[in-house]
Amino acid sequence: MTAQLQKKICMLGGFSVGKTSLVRRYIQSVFSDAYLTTVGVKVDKKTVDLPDKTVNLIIWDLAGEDDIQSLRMSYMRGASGYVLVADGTRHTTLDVALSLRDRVESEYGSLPFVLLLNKNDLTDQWTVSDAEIASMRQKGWWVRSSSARNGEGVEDAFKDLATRLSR
Amino acid sequence: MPGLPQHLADRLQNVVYSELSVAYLEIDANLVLVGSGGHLSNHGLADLQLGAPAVEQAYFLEGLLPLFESPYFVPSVELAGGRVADLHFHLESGTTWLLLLDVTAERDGKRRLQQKAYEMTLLEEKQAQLNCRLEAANAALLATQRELEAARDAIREELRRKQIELTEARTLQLALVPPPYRDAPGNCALTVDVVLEPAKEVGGDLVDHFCIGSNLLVLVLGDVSGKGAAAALMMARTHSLFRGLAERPDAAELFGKPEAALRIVNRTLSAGNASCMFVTLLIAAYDVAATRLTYVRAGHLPPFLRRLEGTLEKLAHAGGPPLGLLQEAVYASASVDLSPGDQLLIFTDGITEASDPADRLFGDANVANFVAQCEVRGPALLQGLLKRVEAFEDGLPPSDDKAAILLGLESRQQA
Repeated sequence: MTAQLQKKICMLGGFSVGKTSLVRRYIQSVFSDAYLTTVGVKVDKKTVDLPDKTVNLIIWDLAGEDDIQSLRMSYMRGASGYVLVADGTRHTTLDVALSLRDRVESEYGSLPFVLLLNKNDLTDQWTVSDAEIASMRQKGWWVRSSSARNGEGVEDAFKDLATRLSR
Repeated sequence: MPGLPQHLADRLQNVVYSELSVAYLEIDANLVLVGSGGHLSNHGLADLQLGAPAVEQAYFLEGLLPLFESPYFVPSVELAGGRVADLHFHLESGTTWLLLLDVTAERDGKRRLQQKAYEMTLLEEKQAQLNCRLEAANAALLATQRELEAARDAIREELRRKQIELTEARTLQLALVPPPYRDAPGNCALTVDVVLEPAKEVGGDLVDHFCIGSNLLVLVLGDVSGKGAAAALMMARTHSLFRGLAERPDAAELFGKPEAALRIVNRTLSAGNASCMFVTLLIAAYDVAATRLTYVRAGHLPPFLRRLEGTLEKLAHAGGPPLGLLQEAVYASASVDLSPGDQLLIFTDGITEASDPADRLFGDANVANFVAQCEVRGPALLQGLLKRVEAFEDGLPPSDDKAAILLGLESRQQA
């Protein structure tokens, strides 16, 4: 019988970086160009089958961080890990993501996370350099580019996080 | 609420209960669901089983239990059914109570406001990005413009330098043209007048005359193939070769039979002539004592001889090929006796091949007519001829160099 785990993870990042779209792509395999902002949090569940166990990811898709609404850290309570999301075409959102990581770390300690540089289908507007990505990877971070539009890198990110949470 | 009558407090409770679709869960210390009630189906919690683990039935509770802070509030949570609830946790005697209050309408209102604010912010970001790109593109354009301006300035400077060089070359070339000759070495006075008008800064037409001793007057008129600097260099070389021969001790013999001088110059020009440039040339030597003109045409146009009485002769005796093509070319001369009053006009094809706007050539016949009918002599005749050609061209830029030599014999009385 395969062991079964249930883990809460949170989607963190600036507004309009594609957190909700990544969750929809991951859970429902769909994508919409229409932007609909998230207020509060939306909770979903996705079962990940790993070689030796099954992990139920309880995904808390948090409203984006911005000037007029700061992140409610209470949403993070009980989270085992998180997905940091930045929009690769808006460099300021990478700064927001890194700032969020610092806040989580100071409040909840070091948690497993993956950093997704989303919207990599918009290559002509890309603003994050390879050197920056290499620099973050040197810190041992799991950094990937992704596209909620075409699904690139999405499944891998959640699976990688689930694998690390299951150890 | 202190002071509120019980029936109003009950009314308030009913309003809150119904309008916020209140539901509750009761969870014991072992995290087992032991009680529930209210509008559970509104929150997607219709199929709860008492006695079973709470987190397995309400997965949004994952990580939140056991409660470590009471009361604990998690606002605006969208659950599986699509409704949005505020979650109020309360710990009492080991039992966790969770109240769910529907705030979907409130969330939707907030979302509308937030959506507009974010869209505005996104537009501003987009505008800022576009401005950055425009500024970058503008900077790149300015840099390119500066490069182009620098390149243009360098080209202008190079052109200016070349223009100066060409002007100097033109000055030097025109300096090779000898001044008019006026003398009376024999029974009659001799005049030689010349014109040279390069089509560009420098040209390939050669005009020269010089005396060998006191008995021989040599006229040289040539036309180098091509135009511009290369033709000018070839012309200067040819000029210097003739002038070199004129300095030799046997110059009188060489130029007395001008085909001999021509043969030497041809050999020199033909040797190593990789560019295959050539020179059509007419050389004429006037023997003062014999009043005889000996000439050789090396592929050049025949000159016109106007006699005193007005008749016109075309000196068309073939002498040989242009200089520079055949090293062993043989040249033959022809002679004609001259008398006072005669005039000899030697010219290049820049005159006969001048064209009008209809692309017609000025031609030999016009030159002959002009010379035959001209009532003036000497430099006035040459200038008149050039004006006639210029009028024929009707404003078109000259297509070729123009050069001519006019030899005049005057009786001593005329002179």
